[in-house]
Amino acid sequence: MAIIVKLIYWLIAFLCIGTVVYTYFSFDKMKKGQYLEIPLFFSNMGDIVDGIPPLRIFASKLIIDASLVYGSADLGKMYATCVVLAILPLSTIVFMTINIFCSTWYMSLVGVLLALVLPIMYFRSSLTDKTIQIRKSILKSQENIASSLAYNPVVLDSAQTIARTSSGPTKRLYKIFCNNYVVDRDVAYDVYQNTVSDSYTKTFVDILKRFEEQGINPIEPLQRNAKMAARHYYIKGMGRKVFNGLKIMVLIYLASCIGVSYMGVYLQTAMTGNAVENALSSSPAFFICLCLNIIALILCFVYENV
Amino acid sequence: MDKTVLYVILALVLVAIGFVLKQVFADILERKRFRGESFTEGVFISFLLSILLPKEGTQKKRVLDNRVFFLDSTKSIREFYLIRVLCVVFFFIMGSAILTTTCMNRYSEVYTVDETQPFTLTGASYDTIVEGVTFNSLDVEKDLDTIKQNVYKLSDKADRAKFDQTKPKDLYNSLIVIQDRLGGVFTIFDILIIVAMCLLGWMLPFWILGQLVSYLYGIMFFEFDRLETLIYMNASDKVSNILQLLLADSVAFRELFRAFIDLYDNEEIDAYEQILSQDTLPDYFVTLVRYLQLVEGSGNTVVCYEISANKDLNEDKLKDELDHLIYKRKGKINMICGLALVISMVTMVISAFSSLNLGAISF
Repeated sequence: MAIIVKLIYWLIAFLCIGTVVYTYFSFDKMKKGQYLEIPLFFSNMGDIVDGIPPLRIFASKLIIDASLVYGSADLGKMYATCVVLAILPLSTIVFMTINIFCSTWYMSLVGVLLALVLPIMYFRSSLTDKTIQIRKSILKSQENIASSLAYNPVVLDSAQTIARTSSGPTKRLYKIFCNNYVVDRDVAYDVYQNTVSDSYTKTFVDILKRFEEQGINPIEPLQRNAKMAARHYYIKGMGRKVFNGLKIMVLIYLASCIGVSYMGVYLQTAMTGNAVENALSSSPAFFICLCLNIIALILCFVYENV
Repeated sequence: MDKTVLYVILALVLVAIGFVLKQVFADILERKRFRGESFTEGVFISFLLSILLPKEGTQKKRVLDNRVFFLDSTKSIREFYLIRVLCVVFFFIMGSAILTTTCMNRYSEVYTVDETQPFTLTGASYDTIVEGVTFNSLDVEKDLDTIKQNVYKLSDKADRAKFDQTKPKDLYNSLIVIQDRLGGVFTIFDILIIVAMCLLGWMLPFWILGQLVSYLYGIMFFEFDRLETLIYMNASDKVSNILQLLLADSVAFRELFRAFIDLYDNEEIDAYEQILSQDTLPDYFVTLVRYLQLVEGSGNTVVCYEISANKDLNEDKLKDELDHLIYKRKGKINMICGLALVISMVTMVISAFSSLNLGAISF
């Protein structure tokens, strides 16, 4: 009986690892352009995700950010579906690892919560970090456009200069913008605005459109808009910078708690001469310490959004 | 006899908890979204809340009502107290379950063989041997005789033969160790843990509410800055449209904007006058409403000029506020982590000291 249980345990573990690896490599292939469109499996899974409200809300936020990071709406959708698909197996793997050290049901309960919350928060937070960096870089490019329009009032020329001089997602964005601009100016603006998807870019596009259609001087409003956006991303970036460091501190605190509690058990064993089985993981005090550290870790993720 | 009483008490407690939960959930399922009068309460919940709720007109009631409104205007203080009752029940159940697990763990270690207790004993054989033993230091001889007689009452022949050859004094010492350990299985401190858990359940929603409200107050300045920008960018739009944008984008001011939109839609009331004449509303919200009034009255150029000037003025304040907010939040997280570390250190020290005198006791 014990062997069957162990077999099932390992089977689940391998299935989870397999799912995570499969989604990772599928997304990697899509990123490298080996798929022309989203594979059928992921497309169907995306439809299922769309049908479940909490997953839909989570995925929709991921799609917006991932589209900006990876440069296309398809890749954004694929990324969101992959993350949603990978979270459950990842949580299972995390839980299985934590559960090895949990000898009581309440410790396992904390393990379940931790395994569910951490991967979701990690994916959300890491993607937001990336998008803030990209948006900051796009913002700089908008400032450059504003200053270059002062001596060369042709938007395409400024965009081409940015496409040549920048790198990464910004370069990709401006290349797409220039290609679209040559064919259809409105489409180019729409794609640009939808990809960056923030209110400052909407204003930026409005100002450029007004300049091209009505000849209204864009330099002062563009600079003002860039200044406001810089202020906004300064606030956002500052919180994240501080709390990313604090997350590591909380983990060090957690390790210290485990170390000190283990020392308590060691002292107890040494003084009484009796080894107490599972003394650490079944201790309510250790449970409270663990809960407090987990609360602190979750607060780090919450507080980084100023 | 003792155990039977315990089981009866446990069964009664469980029935009582089941009754409370049934009532509470029945009321929750029946209720509609409300603020006050449309809440359909059962007799039991109504009675419970009438005892627990703070009296009308008291400072406590006013503060709580404001906090609940600030967080979600569709909820009321009664619903908040219902959550508190549910939390107490939940924490009581959790506390009992955790305590039961801990006591079971301690009980499983009572008959462990070690240097102080070298005999292999079961619960049943221990009960038989200690029957009539007083463990009084003045009656040791009498206790030794009783133990001798009790050994013959053991049902297991092997045990009987083994303990018959053992010195009664050694067995007596072992029994004292087991009695000590049994005494440590469930102590007065464990009852205190249950009481503390219930108190935690009662206070936790209150603390969470306080923390959420303070979180909203903390981000108010940054939200004001963001919404100010939003008004600046959409100043050429209609006020009703701007209001919808502000409502969608705000967190701290959401309920206030919701209330303002209700006032704004009511043509008989001058919404701006109502808000601008209030002293108790946050200054940032009043300023935002003033901007909206300017959009409607003076046009977008004046508003944009004013917002630009205000933003320039607030440049330094923004950095200070951000530093202050991050400092406060960092302090809170460090405090929680520090508390965890202190608890584990105190536990370590207590474990070490208790090991010196009492043998293995797990905290």
